[in-house]
Amino acid sequence: MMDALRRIRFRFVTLFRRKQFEAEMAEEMRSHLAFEAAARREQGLDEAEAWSGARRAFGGFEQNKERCRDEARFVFLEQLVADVRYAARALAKSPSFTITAVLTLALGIGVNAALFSVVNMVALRPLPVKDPDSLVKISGRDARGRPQSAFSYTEYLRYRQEAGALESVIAFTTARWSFESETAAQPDPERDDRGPGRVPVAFVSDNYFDVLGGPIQIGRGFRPEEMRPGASPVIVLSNLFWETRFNRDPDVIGRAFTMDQKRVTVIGVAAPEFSGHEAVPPAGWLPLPTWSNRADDYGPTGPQDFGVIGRLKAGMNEEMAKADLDVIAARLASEFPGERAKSSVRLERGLRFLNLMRTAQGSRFVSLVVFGFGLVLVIACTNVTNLLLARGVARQSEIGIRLTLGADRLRIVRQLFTENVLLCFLGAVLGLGLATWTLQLLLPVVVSRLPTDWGFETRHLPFFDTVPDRRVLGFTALLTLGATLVVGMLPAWHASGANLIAAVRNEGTAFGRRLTASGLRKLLVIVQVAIALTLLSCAGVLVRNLVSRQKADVGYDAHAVFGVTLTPERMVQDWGQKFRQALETLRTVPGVAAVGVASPAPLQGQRGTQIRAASDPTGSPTRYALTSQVSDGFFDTFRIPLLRGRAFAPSELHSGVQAVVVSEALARDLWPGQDALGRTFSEQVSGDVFRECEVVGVARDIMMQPFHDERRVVYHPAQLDVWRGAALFVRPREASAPALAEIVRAARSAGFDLQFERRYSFLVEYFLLPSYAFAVASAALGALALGMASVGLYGLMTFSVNQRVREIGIRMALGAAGGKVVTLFLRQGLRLVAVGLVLGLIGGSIFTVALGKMLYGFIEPFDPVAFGAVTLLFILIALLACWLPARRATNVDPMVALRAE
Amino acid sequence: MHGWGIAQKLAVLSKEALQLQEGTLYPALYRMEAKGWVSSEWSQSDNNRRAKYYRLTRVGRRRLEEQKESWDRLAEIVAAIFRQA
Repeated sequence: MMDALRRIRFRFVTLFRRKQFEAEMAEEMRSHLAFEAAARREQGLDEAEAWSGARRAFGGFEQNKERCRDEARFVFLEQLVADVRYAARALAKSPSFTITAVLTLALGIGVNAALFSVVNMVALRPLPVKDPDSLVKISGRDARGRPQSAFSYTEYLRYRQEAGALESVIAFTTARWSFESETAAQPDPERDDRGPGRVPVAFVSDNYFDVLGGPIQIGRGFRPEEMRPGASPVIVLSNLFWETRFNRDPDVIGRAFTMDQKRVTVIGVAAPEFSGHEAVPPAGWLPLPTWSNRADDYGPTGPQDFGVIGRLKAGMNEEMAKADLDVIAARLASEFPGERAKSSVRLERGLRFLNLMRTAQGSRFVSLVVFGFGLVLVIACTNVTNLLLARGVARQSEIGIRLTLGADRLRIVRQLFTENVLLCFLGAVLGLGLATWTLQLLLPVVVSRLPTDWGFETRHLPFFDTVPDRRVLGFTALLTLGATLVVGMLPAWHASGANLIAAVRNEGTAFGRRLTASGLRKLLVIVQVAIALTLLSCAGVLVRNLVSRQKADVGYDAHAVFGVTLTPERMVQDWGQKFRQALETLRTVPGVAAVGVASPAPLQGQRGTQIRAASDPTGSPTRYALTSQVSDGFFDTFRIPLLRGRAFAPSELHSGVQAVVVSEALARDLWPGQDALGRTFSEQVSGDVFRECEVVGVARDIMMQPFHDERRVVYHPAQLDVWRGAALFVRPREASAPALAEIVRAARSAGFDLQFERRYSFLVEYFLLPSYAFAVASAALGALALGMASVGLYGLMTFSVNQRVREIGIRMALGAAGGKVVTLFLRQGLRLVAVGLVLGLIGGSIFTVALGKMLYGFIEPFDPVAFGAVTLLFILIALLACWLPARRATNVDPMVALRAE
Repeated sequence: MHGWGIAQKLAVLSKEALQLQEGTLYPALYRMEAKGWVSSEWSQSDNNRRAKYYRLTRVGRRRLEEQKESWDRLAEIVAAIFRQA
């Protein structure tokens, strides 16, 4: 151990403390001499003779030292250290170059690191549970192959008992329960805040906390007697809820609150890092048996509302587990047949927030985005490479002299390469820091715009932690390595290949002679221009898309419409009847202007259907249309005007006659130029079975879906069975807090519990969010690319001017006008820009077409306005970038230029 | 032991036959230290002079054993040849 320490000390001193090394060596020699002299004196010689004798015996001091130095060499390491020191000094001596290069690299690497950080957070980083990679989310497929993500309680129990491949199985379900509903406020419409009325809670099996490894911070977990049906409900609060609602009050343990009209006692609080099986924790966890007090709900015919997660036994993989579980599924399907019976299972390994790579489309989209960000890095690298090439040319004399003095070319390359590596390293560190800092600023802003009905902040969640973890660091290191290889090698090699004679004589370029590096640099600039234009055209298309979407008319007034929920459905036996009664009663409440039901509601889902005009013969192709089941009050509630005819009469609800209302787009499509009232068409029920529908009304077009805006809609009268899953909407006469409270009171006195959700307009805004995000992100990238490319262009022009100073001087001395010189340079620069523009426009088209395919119907790829505007912008900036240095060329004094060394 | 001490000890042990020159001794010591066979530290000698003391490391000891073995083997081989010749 001591040996190792001493060895390290030896190496350190030899490499980094050269002076100390020399001093120690000298002292050692001197002490040897002293010993020798002492020995001689003991033999009887006097002082002076002893010393001279000793020195003679020793031999040459310096030769000895030199031999020792030779033995203690670590040549490679020493050279490396020397290189790094030299590189640091060289970089420090040209601060403007260093800062520019480091900043450029930092931007390129940082942007990509930020993207990866986000991707990591969302799709790569596992949730904070114990051993996440052995957990599998279990879902099923029914006989038709449709995915069924939840199970009944009986199914869960059977999987738990019989699955040999899994060492444990947990189940969970969620609900929104009111919290202290007597005192909970309805959402204040003036503030459009996130109403704290209901909070999400999860009901979990007894082994939930054990299997997921969720530590309890204070209090305790569930006891067996609390997991029995009929036990009085207890709750373990999530740390986030405890922090925001109770201010971390430790006395909350043992207190009871009214939740969903039951008294629930708090028994514990989970640790802050635990959020359950999802990224965002619920308000708390309750025992599964308290979810419903009807025994049937837990039986084989009960609702399939339970999510199931299992932990693989050691040595098991997904295929083996799937085989095992498939057998159980088949057994269950034969025991309890039904439409939703599962014939096979699907396993998803590891718990992540989002699994983007699952679908082919998802992964293609991700690759496109990654590619776009990567392009920025490419521009940054080409920029820095250009800078370095220029710097290399400027250092020709220095390198030439070194070569003449006998330096090994490889050694010089290594030294230059070390400089570039240092640059890249600094750029990477700065870039990572910038990325983390930016994310820490931006993320809370983005998160605060997401809809949560919590009444508390989600930004403190460990999920949104932006500190780079080992994956982000590894990715950044990889990027840096790539950048280093690209940026470092080429200029180093180029610079070391100096033409010795020309270098020493400092003839950068003689009159008209071509620069050695200029061809490469021009190519790089063209690449930069092309990339910048690609990104910019993409940005242009996305920005225009955002603008047009914001201006799009949804067709209805969503501002004064509120979604509402009635009491939990499973409590009531004949739900459809009850619901309809509730609706009728609500309509009569004085504060209510209109009440409506829709399934699916606009922007909350879509259902498509195939229709055929009556005049089309059987077998002709059908047309696609959207369909929705609505109550007669729906059009009133959303203020959708009926252009012709009327809405449904009460008698038409739930009868067999298919009276429908169609949108005007559909009417125009089926019967162009004619009145659609009273006409019939056939609608597909299933397969080849069609039914007749008669048009009783034509409504104005509305926006049913945010993407691929299809405006042809068929409205059916809401059938009884639909009312269970339908969304209920209320338009109050006056949208103030007291008015809403009045409506709730009226509802309660009529016998049922009403809860207002948020305004509908919020949903509309929410769906604009992706467009917003895309537009902003691509605009930022485009701007960045534009900036870098113009800087690159400017740099090239400036350098070119500087190199040809003598040539300019001669031209001007011979009588060329300043303007001619400027045009000379302008033409050179613009030629490059032109080539880059063409390439960039091609690239931009390809990119936006690909993007358009990903987001089908989302954007218009060939947007001439966007492309044109972007090209114009770029030409203007490029002109400026070329003109400024060219203009400086004319300020050259011919006499000074001719004498320039 | 410090450098001078080593030279003296060798001279004594070999009965004055082996007189290491400083030009051989110190480069050898530095080489061995670079290879990790010896380690050094500064200390006070008996007459209160500062000197650099060397000692074998574990690796060095092993190397010594190996060298000794190969030397013995070499000596054996040469002796055998001479006996036969």
